[in-house]
Amino acid sequence: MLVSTRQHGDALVIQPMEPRLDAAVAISFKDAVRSAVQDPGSPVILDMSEVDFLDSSGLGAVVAAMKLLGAERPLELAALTPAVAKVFRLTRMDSVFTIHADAPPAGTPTQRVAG
Amino acid sequence: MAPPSKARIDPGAPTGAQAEWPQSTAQGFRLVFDSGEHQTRAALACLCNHMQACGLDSEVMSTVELVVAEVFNNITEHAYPGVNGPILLQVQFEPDSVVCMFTDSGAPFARGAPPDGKLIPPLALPEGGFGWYIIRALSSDLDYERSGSTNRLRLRIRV
Repeated sequence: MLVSTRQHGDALVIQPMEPRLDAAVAISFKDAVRSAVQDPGSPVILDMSEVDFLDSSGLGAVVAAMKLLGAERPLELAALTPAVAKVFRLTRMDSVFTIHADAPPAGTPTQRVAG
Repeated sequence: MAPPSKARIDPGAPTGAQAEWPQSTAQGFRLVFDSGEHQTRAALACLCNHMQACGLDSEVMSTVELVVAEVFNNITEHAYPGVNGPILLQVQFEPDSVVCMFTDSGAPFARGAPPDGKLIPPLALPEGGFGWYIIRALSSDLDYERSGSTNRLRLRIRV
């Protein structure tokens, strides 16, 4: 899966360039994030603006990414599209993430492929 | 493991079709797809095209898409583990709801009935187990029947 990374202040912004985070890509999403978070920056902000569908597997993969980072490096979410926000709300997982309405502005992204 | 016999799907699914050309009417439509993660994507794209053609609003469409995705994921993982088996999806429009019926010839539910789908406390940071919670939270009148080697699951999504 292709994710784009960028720095914004102290934060590392990771943006999945993928319209669907589902069972078909959950594992490659986790691999892409594992690779992307080798770049410095905290918190890590997941820019979800390109993602318009998330199922339970995709949600599980986002939670796995949060756990991978550990407590020292919080994972925050930004720019949830309506269908994605609904899944977080429904499962109450919106209560465990800091969610920003808008994504930090794009700088010069580094594209990478993993998984 | 031998793939499950496609002929066992009932009612009236054509045999051997990976993606039956859907039949659409004002009352609904039916689709046949094989299980599998990528097949599920194709099935959902087809489902959304049909719902759009039938004039459903986008809020309802996204709810139906999510519920169908979770049921297909479940059938892929638990009814047809390691194989791609056929799933018949029938969608019926009623005045106040969309009724979805799923037929497959895979394994029955382990406990003879669909899981309760209790919400796992968010602070436990669950990485899975959301599927049946989502299905049950967004649908009603969930009914499951095992008949012979066929699973039939029916549920209603209120509009």
